[in-house]
Amino acid sequence: MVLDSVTDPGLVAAYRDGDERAAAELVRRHAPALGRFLYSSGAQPSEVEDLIQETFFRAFRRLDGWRGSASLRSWLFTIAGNLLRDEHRKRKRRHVVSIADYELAGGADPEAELTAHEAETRLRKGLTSLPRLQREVFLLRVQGESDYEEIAAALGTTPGAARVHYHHAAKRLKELLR
Amino acid sequence: MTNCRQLSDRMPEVTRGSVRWTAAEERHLTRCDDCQHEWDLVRRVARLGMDVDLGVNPAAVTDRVLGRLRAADVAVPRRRVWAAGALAAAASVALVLWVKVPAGTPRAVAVTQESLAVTPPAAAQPRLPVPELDGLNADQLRMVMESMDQPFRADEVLESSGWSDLESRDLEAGFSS
Repeated sequence: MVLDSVTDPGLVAAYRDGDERAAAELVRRHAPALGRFLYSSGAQPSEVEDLIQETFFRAFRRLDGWRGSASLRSWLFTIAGNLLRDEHRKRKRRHVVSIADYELAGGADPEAELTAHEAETRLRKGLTSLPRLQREVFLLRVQGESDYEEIAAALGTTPGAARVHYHHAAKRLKELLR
Repeated sequence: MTNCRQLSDRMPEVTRGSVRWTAAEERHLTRCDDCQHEWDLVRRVARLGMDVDLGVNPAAVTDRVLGRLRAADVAVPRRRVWAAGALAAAASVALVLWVKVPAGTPRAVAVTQESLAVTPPAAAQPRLPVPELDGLNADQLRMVMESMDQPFRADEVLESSGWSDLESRDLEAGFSS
């Protein structure tokens, strides 16, 4: 069976039947997007892989909790968002959290890279300053490729409310980054 | 007639290439600074993290996840065997005591509903706190959306570090308008 053409529900069913290759395909399919979601939500690059691992571990342990009305990706994003929130709470107790600068790779145009890096840092700070629900709706929509119905199912809200959260987030980000 | 909100709703799909702008939308976009700003923002967020090495190796993640799942699956039956042994021992003791109790002594112990009550299982999926918007109907949501056309005050934005505080204020503003 060629797994990359199988839908997410098909892979979940195959994994439940004991096919571990289906789990590998689900990780391959969703890990990069999950990583970008976590990074955009304020995770440090060094902690992203551990958070992804924990997200899949929890997801595979309670696949019964996945309602088919939400896409698997938006459900995974929700789990990852919960993990990140818990991680930040733990860290807040230990020390102040900030979006740290990551090391810039030596490129051909250091000045342009620095400018791009600063713009990216501002964007991440803007995203992390949003209320969590607004941020998650916005990222699910823009990075998670989910529509309002899927987002509503994943976050336990209504499609209309999800749409309002999306527009709140867009408006705030525009104000913050103008 | 194309308006900013319609364009805003379609930006994520256009960014990922699943749909294209209509001619009317393109005209609106070239004329509207606010939409251009949002369009730039959405495209930047869509690409955010793509140029950063996040060190994610899906194969290694899979190995570790499956390894942990196997270990967890092994741990559960062991606990069950131990629990079954303990239950069997307790049952044996109870049987011996029951046999030794003199005739005429009441043997049955009243089992109340309370003693049988069990803690309900935790929800299968952690849920976010229900936001205020969930209880609103379509008209009310539209009012909230319209209230967003009022500019944010800078102090409101900076103060809003918590969860839904600004949303509550926006909702109140929407209802009072």
